[in-house]
Formats: sequence, structure tokens, C-alpha cells
Amino acid sequence: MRPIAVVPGTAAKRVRGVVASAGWEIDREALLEGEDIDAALGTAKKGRSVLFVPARVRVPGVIRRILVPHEGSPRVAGGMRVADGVAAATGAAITVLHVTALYAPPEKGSLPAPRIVDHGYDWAEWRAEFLRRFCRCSEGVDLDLEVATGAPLESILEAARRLPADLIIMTWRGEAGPGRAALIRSAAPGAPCPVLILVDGAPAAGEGT
Amino acid sequence: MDERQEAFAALVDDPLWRIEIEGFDPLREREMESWFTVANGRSGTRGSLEEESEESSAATYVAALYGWPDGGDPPGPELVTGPRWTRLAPRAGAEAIDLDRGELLEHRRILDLQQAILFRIWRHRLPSGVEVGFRSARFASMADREVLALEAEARSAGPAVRLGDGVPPPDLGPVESVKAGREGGRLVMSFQARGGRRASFAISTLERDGRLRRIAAVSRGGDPVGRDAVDALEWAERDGLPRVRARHTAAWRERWRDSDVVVDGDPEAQRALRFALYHLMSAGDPESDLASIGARGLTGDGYRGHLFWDTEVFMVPFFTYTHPETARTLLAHRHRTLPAARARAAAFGYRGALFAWECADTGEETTPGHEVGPDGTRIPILTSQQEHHISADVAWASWRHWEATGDEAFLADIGAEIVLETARFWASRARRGRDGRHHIARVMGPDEYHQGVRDNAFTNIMARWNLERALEVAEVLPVLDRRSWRALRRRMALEDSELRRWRTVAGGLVDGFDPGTGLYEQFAGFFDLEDVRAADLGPRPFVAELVMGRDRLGRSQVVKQADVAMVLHMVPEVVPAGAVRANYRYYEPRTSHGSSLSPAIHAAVAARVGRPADALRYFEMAAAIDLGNRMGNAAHGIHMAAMGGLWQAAVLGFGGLRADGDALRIDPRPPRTWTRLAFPLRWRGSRVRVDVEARTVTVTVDRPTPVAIGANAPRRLNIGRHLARKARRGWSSLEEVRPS
Repeated sequence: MRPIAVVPGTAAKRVRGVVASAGWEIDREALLEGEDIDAALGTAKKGRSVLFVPARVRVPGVIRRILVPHEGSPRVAGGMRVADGVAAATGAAITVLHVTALYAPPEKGSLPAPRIVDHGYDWAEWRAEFLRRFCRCSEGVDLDLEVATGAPLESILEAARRLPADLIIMTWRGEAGPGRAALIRSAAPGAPCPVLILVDGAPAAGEGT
Repeated sequence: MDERQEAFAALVDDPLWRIEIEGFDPLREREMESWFTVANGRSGTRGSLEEESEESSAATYVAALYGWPDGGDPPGPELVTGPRWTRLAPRAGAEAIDLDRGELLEHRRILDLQQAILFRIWRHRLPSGVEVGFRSARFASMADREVLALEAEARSAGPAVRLGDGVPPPDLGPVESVKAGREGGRLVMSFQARGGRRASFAISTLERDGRLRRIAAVSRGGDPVGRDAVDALEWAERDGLPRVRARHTAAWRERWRDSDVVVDGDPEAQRALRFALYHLMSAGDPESDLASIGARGLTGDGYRGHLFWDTEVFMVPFFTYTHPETARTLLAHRHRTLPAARARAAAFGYRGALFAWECADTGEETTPGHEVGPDGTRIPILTSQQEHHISADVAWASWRHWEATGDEAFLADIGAEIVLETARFWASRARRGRDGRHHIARVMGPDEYHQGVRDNAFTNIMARWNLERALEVAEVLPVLDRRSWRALRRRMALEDSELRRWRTVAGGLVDGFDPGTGLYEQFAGFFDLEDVRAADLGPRPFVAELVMGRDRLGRSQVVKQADVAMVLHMVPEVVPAGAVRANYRYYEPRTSHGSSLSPAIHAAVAARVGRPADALRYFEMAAAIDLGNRMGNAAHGIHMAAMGGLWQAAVLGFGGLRADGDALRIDPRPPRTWTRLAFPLRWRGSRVRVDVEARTVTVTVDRPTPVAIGANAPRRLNIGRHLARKARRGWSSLEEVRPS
């Protein structure tokens, strides 16, 4: 089992329940001090999965609902695999949240919400294909797809509060320069629950070492 | 014949005739299956891997074979899938050969557009280390429409390869019962869809030394034991696959001769056009009017295989000008649904024929009552209640077909009744207002963002045009075919007084045109709405309700798709001079193009008003609808209307082709990057070839034909080649080119 890093350092105890429930173990060497999203991203960039625990958030003893923001690109596959693994182990349900956008992800095989809709059938067809393409889960895992319009940050935080989510899994491109990682920098500290940050391409938590 | 000696199908070399995908991308597999469908109007088989995979949505659809699945949501008929006749189970010794195991060394799928054959070339190292090679080729015969064929071969450096027999039966759901059995070594599957329709497949497989030949034959109709399919199969077997293939490729050669649009200088446009024409020709069946072409043809389960105005407005023109035999069967199919259209008009309290907005083969309305929006909300669908323009659209396609072909039998047997019955509908649908004019209320134009509007310009203009053509039918048909006219009048109980009323209504219908501005108001009150330009909201296309919200959208001037622009495109002869440009300029920036039907029409109109950059951009947008999966649902089938729209953009837009009375008018305006645009067409029995280069247009006719170039007056061209040169203003007249 690949250990996960935890931010902040003081959260190690608080997250014991959620980590145990997910079947992960904590990477002691990677324990980070302080509630510092940049430090978290720095660690994630090194290929570690990082569990970011914002201050004053509810840290659940067990995971019942996982929220996976999904831009409709294949790079979220790692996040989906982790979500599926946790859900299969804990019985948690997964909510995949797709926020519609005017710009499509550049990866081949992406399937963001359509930019053209002739008929009501189109939404159902897109939905069916999106689920089949990106959201295949282990048998018995309860998964639903929500589509939101509006600003991605507000949509993610609103869904996390409303569901409520016990864990958010966010996949990040690993680009932290100016103007980059804006969503994750805002979403993780503002989240009402722990946020697992994965870098696209990095081996996902829960995968064999 | 020794099967081992028969040559395998050969692949076309020219990359402009190939759609090719290398490797295997599981995420896009279902899109690829749609792209790679082989079809012939009778059946369509998705381009799934022979051994299938977890990612496959393998299916063979039989045109007109609809079934009613239990508990369908929404309820209604849907296209039934037949047996998966391309299924193989390749093995090297005891080891299965599939993409999921071992190492992929080479994998290519190539749709040979010229021959309409799907090829697959595959090399794989199995987990045991054995390397195997596999290739296959399949087609749906264009010459023998009952016949489908697959040839495959595999070789291995290790154990002997077996490709395998065993064809899975149709999936249940809309299928009620399947009977499968063997007859003389052939597999025969007969099945009945829920609702009573039947089809049969007879399949024979011959495998020897790693080489497999499979021929399948399809029949549909009342034959419950598949006798027709077995007969067709026996006949094909006797001929042998190479001859069956040769007839198929010869039939496609002929079709390409009559329809290929050649573009030099833009290979992507060339490939996109051939991809579009391939799918259009694959979808039509000139031998039977049992089925029409659904919005996704026979390429996927999208839209449940149903028909919309897509067929008549976006696809039929292509067939009318390139293969009128197919256009005729498509229109004949619609004609078969007249009883349902009359009943539908009556149910609304009107007379005449109101065609279904969405239907399967009977013509009964099948539009669902609601849709589930992206956020899960249920939204009522009002298209079937309000998009009454469908009746004028069908009349338009019928009249344009008559106009282009001069097919008197078509007019007498099919076209006239459609035009008259739809005119009768409009005369009862319009109401005389206090202003003394006629109005049409509670409609939706093509722009579905604005519902329940009054006097939609497109609807009213098309209704008026429909009424006027009906009056023309009443003048022309008695002269051409008095007996048919009398019979039709009697059948319709059509009195002179009714014809007079049609004239009154046509003359009284408002169309929202303001001579001062040269603009049509899209509907009454449109110009009072919030003036929002879609072009300012973000890169188009986009789904405007997601950007603005439904409520604000409905109160704004943002338009979903070509609406007034459809008037400019479909009936340019009624648009006053200068108004085409004015309306394009007004409505284009306000259009979000949130419909696949919009970009191609804008390309055509932009070309006509001299906006070549816009025109090319819209052409490329239309080309990307399936090839770029702009709609996110290419997995469920190809958008056939977009395919037809692409042809219209190229030929009617860039080629500037249109009917002008008895003459064919050609006013070419190709994009600057297209160094040559050439296309064939049929016009009143004449085969015409138009070849446009930078400064010349060549028109070749095989019988005397009146043709006009640019704004010049028509000239009757003698048989042969004629050349016009670009002049300082417009074009020189067409001069005969004598063979040197």
C-alpha cells in the first residue's frame, strides 16, 4: 500500500479514522507541518498522494460519501480508481461532479458536457457515455453523476456541503506556476472535508507499490 | 473455387479516401464504432472489433425494424439490433487473441471510403510470447442490399489459429422472440420485435487454414422462417465472396462518380466531405420506401433511430442532386405516413397533414413528453406541439425534388399530395387577425430557445411558400397528368373555393420583414428582447442555457441555430435583394450554434454573402461535429443531418448552386484555400459536372441544359464542356470548349 502524506501535521490524529477506513496508511516521512496548500501541492508534485485537511473541518470517522470533481478528461482516471477502491472497501457512495465549461480539456478522449445539444436525448446519451468512459466502478459501488453549471469552485464547495461529502478527491495537472492550480488552491482550503490531492500520472493511493 | 486462392480485399492507397485510426483507445472506442459503420440503407453494422471488448457497443441495425421495449423510458419504438454477425473468437491454440491480453504491436482500422470497406490490420504478442497477425475486411453490399460480408485471416508463429464460429443472437429488449437454427450448415436467426415486425439473418461461415469468409443475408417482413434470407445467402454463396465484393465496389464507384465533391488545397475538408458523403450514401435505400434515414442513420442507437426534419431539409437535397432514386424513396416513405399526419392535424383541430416532429416508420408522433436536463431536472419538450414547420419542410423537399428532377411521376404519385395536404394544413392553421393579416401563433421555429411564439418568420414564410407551391401544383399537374390530378382532387375533396382561400391566406401571412432595415423579425416581439450577442459570451458553439440560464435565455435575442438564416438558405428566391446580407449580419453574432444543424447552414449563407472566412470557419465547425465529437455523443451514432449539411455548405454554399426557374444557377464562392472545387449533379435528367478553379468555372452537361453563371442570364448549354472566366465584375458567359 502506498502511504499518503497528510497536511497539516496536526491532523494526523484527526484523520486516523478516515485513513483507516480508506485502507490507506500515513507516510510518516511525508507528514507536513502547517496548513499550507502550497506545501501540499509541492508534496503532491513529487508523486505522493496528499490528504489535505483544512482547519476546522469536520473529519469523519468513516467515509460515507466521496465527491470526485471531474472535468471530463481521462486524467481523472486515477482519482476515480482511488474513489472506487475506497468505496468498494467502505461501502461509501461516489458522487461525480462535472461542471460545464466553455473550454474543453486538451486530452484525447475527453468528453466534457457537449457544446451542442439538438435534443433532450443528447444529454442522456452524453451522460451514458460519460459514465461508461470514466466512471466504471467495482460491482456494488453506488455512483451518481451530477452536472453543475456556473463557477467550478462554488459548484464543488456547494456540492460538498450539500451531500455532504466526507472526502473530496481532486486530480491536479501538477502545474503550479502563476495562474495555475487556481481551482485546487481555492477548493482544498475552503472544503468542508478532507481533500485527497492526486497528481495526474502519479501512481494513485491504494495502488500497489 | 479454391477459397485459398482468392485475393483478400485490397485497400485504397490515397489517404484522402481513408479514415484511419492507429492503436486502440478504449475511451474513444464507441465513437470509432460509429465512424466505422458499414451500411447500405437496409442494414448498418457498427465498426466494432470482431472479437469485441468490454468497450464495444457492437450492433447491427435493420432499417425499419422497430420494436417497443418493455418499460422503455421514454416509452416508444426503437431500432432493434440484429445478431452480431461480425463476431469472431480468434485463438492461437488454446490461447485467446484479444487486445486486453499481451502486447499490442500494431493496430490500425481504416475505413476505405472509396470502396466502402472497413479494414483492420493487427499484430499482437500473446502472453505466451507467440506473435500473431490478423486482418479483416467487411462491407454491407451496395449492389445486393441483403448481403453483408466479412473476410478475416490470422497467422501465428506458434500454434494454429482458429477464428471461430458462433454468432450471438440479438439482444432482447425490443426483441420479443428469437428462433435460431441451422439449415444446410447455415445459421438462420429469425426474430420478432415487440410490436410485430420481423427480420431474419442467414449466415454462413467458411474457415480454413486461418482464413475465414462469412456472408450474411438479411430479410425483413412477414417471412417467419427466414426463407428470403436463406435464398439471398445461397445466391451470394454461389457467386462467391470475391464477386459479391466486386459488385459492391462497382456500385460504390458509380455512386462516387455521381456524388464525389473534390476539394484541392484542403485535405481535411476533402476527407470530412467524403466521410459525410460515405455515411449519407450508406444510409439511403433507393430500392425500398419501408424506411427513411433516422437522425443517426444506421450507425448507432441515438435518438432511437427516429426521423426528424433532418431527413428532408438536410439530407434529401444531397440525394435529389446526386441520386434522385434515393431521394424519391425517402420522400415516398414520408408520403406513406400521410394518414398519421392527417390524424395528427385533426387531433390539433386542423385540416390537412401535420407530419410528426419525431417518428419511427409509421409516422406517429414519438417525441417524449419531457427531457432530463443536465442538472437532472425534468423539462417539458414542446417541439412536437409547436414545431409545425415540419410540414412545410417536407413540402419544401418534395417541391425541390420535383424542381430538380422534373420527375412527373414523382409529382403525380407523391409530391403533389404532400404539397397539397400540407398547404391545407397551413390554411387551417393560420388565423386572420384584426389587422386583416394572417398570423400563426403558438409555434416554435428552428430556434428552440424561444417557444410558443407568434409569427415566427421562418414558419410563416415557409407556410406561405408551401401554399404558393400548392397553387402551382394545381396549375401544373392538370397539364402534366390530368388523370392523376382528378383522382387526387377527388380523394382530397379539393374544391376551387379552397384553392382561392389558400391564395388569400398566402397573400395575408405576415413575415416580419421591415423594408427599412431589410431585416426579418424572427418572431413578433423578438427585437424587444434583451439584445445579447452570443458571440460576446464565449467561443461558439455552446449550449446557451448553460451559460445564461433558461429564463434569461428566453428573454434574450440569443438564438440556438439558424432560424431566419434557414429562410435565407432554403427559399432565397423570396428574400428581397440585399436582405440576405443584412439578416446574416444581424443574426449571425446572436446565434450560439447550440445545434448540429446550425454551422453548415451558416457556412452556406456566409459563402453566399461574401464572407469566406466565416464560411470556412462554419464549414470546419460542421465537419467537427462527429469527427471532433463536439456533441459528446458520437458514440451513439453519426449526426446524419450534419453530414447532409456539409454537402449543402460545399455545393449550395461554396459552389453557389441553386435552381432558378428551369435553369441551374451556379455562383461559386469557394474559400481562398480551396484551389479547386468540383462536383457532379443531376438536373432534370442531365448529368452535370461543375469544376471551379481560381478564375474559371467549367460546366459539362450530357444533354442540353439551361445554366446560368453568377448573375448572368441563363443559357442553354449544348452537350459538352463550357467555360466561364472570372471577369472584372462577375463572370464571362459560358462558352463551349471544343475538343482540340
